[in-house]
Amino acid sequence: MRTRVSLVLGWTTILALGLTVWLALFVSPADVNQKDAVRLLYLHVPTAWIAMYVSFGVTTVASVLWLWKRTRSPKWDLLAGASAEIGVLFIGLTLIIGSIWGKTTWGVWWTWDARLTLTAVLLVLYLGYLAVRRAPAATEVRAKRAAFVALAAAVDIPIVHFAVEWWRTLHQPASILDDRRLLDPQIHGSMGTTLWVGVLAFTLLYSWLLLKRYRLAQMEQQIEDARLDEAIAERRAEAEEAGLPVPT
Amino acid sequence: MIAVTHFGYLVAGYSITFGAIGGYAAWLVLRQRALGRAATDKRSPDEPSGTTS
Repeated sequence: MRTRVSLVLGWTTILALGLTVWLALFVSPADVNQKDAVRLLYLHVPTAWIAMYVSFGVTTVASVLWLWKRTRSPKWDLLAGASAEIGVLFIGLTLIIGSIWGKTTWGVWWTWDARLTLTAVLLVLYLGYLAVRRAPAATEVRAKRAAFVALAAAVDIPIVHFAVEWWRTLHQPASILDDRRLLDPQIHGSMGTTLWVGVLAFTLLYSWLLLKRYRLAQMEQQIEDARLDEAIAERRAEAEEAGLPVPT
Repeated sequence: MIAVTHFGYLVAGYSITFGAIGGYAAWLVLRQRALGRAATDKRSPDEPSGTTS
């Protein structure tokens, strides 16, 4: 059942991504000011959406669910880690595509603009989160540490979002997630359609990657647990051979 | 798209994006297969690994 879901989702994602590339490169027109460089935004916006709001959002919610004793379950810890890893990939891509677009439009690869700088900080924070997850510790201890780091890192998400309003920045204000523009979008016609198809395609891609990464995390955990059981059994056997008391 | 401006930038942007995503997806699939094989081998240590007969 899980394999079939993964297969259907995988093929749907490939088709949706193919449609996005076709619309972005061959159907939507060039922008009056940005010319063809606007086609980079059909990747930049969906990757930013996936990284900042979806991936890190899921990590935050899963971390809260792990910390809350009523809902505590190892699956939330695994889900948080899986989603954060995908988020790091996508936030890295957001910065790279944004940098390429910036060179074509602003004339520079990088500028210490509030939105850009805070997004780079977000990347570093979640890299730190992944590092904490890899630090050797008991499963429970590691999960607790990681959950607290995830909550601390999540503080940067709304700051990145509102940076374009709170400070004077070179980066343009929100195009989609803005209450004044949500019902009155400023992007029209095939450009808007391409952007929405891209957002949908990347959301499907995230779902497929999360499915795979979560399953992989489960397998890694099972192997780690089996190795731990094996090591404990070996130490017990050694203790018994030596005639030492064996703890139960 | 006949006369394209910023062609090199577009190629770079799209190649990096889909290259990185494709690479990550391939790593996930291959690692999952490798761990699955390792788990199967561990469950049946008497059977020679990698054979079906």
